[in-house]
Amino acid sequence: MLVLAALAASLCHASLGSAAAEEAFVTNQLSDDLMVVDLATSRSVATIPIGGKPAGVAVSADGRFAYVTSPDAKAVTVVDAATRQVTGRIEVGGGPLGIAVAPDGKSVYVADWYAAAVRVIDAASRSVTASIAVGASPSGLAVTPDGKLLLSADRDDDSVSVVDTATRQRKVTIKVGTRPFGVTIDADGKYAYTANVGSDDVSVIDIAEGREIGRVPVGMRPYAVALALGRGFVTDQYGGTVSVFDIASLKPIKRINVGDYPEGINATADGKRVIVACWESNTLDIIDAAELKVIGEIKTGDGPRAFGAFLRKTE
Amino acid sequence: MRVTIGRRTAMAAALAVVGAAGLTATLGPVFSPAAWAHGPTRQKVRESIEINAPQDKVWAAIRNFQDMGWLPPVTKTTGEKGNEVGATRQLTLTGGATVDEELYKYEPDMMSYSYRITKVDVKVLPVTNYSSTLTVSPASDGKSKLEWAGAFYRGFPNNDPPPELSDEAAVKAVSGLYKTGLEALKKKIESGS
Repeated sequence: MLVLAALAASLCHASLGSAAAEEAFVTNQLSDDLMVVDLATSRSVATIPIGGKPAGVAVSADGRFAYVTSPDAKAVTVVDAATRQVTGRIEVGGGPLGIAVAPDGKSVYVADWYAAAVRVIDAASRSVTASIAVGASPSGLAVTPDGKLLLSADRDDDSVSVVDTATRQRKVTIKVGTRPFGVTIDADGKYAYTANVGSDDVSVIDIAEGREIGRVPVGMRPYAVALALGRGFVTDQYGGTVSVFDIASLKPIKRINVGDYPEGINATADGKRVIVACWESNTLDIIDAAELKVIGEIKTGDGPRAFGAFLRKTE
Repeated sequence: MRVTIGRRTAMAAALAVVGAAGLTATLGPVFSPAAWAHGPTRQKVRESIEINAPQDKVWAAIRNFQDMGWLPPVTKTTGEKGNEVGATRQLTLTGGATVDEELYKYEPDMMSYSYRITKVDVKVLPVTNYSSTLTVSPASDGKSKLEWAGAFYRGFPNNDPPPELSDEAAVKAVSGLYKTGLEALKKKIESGS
């Protein structure tokens, strides 16, 4: 018992400090809720019923709202991130899955998995105000830091659409690996990374040039990519690992064993931790991004997916 | 809400008509990437059974990927590459339907392996993108625990599935299959055959 207590204390201690003042908003798809985990204490601090099999999540840059997609309910739920209250529900139709919020918080983009379209929600009026034509089965979405471009991973077209957010027109279509699912843009807005479920690799995109410039082999059925400390971290669903690669050389570095069917993955703002939702084992695993090892594990609800930008800064 | 219900009814009616002409054949061209397309919610099933035998003995009964004869509906297993990662097998079921599978993880030290279905008719098993893992672990009093865990999407890749291709139907079918298989293995191993 003493040993266990000491171990628990050391695990808590490990996550204190660096990942302080950040929370994870995790969609538990099979238990139909959104849980909030305080990363400083590694504790679940709230569970918010959502319904409709929630999958995608996007926290606004100012930390005020978490937007959650429910494909079965064909809706997006708006959660006040600080009070943990559901404050709105937007009927979007189709199969809402991937979701992203513009950096200024004014627009929310929702991929319709069945319709080759991205719906635009006006955050103020909480209504769908436009639709953007993209490729087949759009899944992951990401917006450049300047808000000017929206990237959509169009899974069944093996490509990424680059959309001008001002005109809401697709500017470029970039061929990538097979079945891109998650897409992540770096802090400079220069490069994007797609996890290609079908070809077991990651495509590196030069956004300004509008083309794929590299490919990194990863584990089986990759889901999404996070970036921290000059490295890419990729969830390998069937592999049960997080593949790590060097961003400069695009060389694989390591595969870290995590829970079963790892899916949603994000890096903390300070880049010191990588947070992974493990769908099968119902855990949120915490990786030390420098040591490249799992340093903590938090029990979740059933079937955590956390597909999107699910971390929120509280300070 | 009313709109949704109306659409669902219309979809079910359309499928009933399509069904008469052969579900798979007719829907094929519409959902052409059928092997990849899937619904929005992956399902999980985890079943286990305690077997009164040492772990080695239980592992010996399942470890050959090229023989799934222990699962009652399987009448024949043919395949290639033994227990190597990437090995394939085709199961023939009672009545002649087949299921194609591929081994993607094989860990004899852990007494565990994982495989996925590469081809199955949803009328045979109403799932898509199916993967599963068999694991033998210790139980109390020298007994063993055999666990079968699956992850899969429902048979219908689009919104508003017909009842026979819904999430619930998929879970029910897989859960039933696992229970049947585990019971059969327990019986086989404990009777010493």
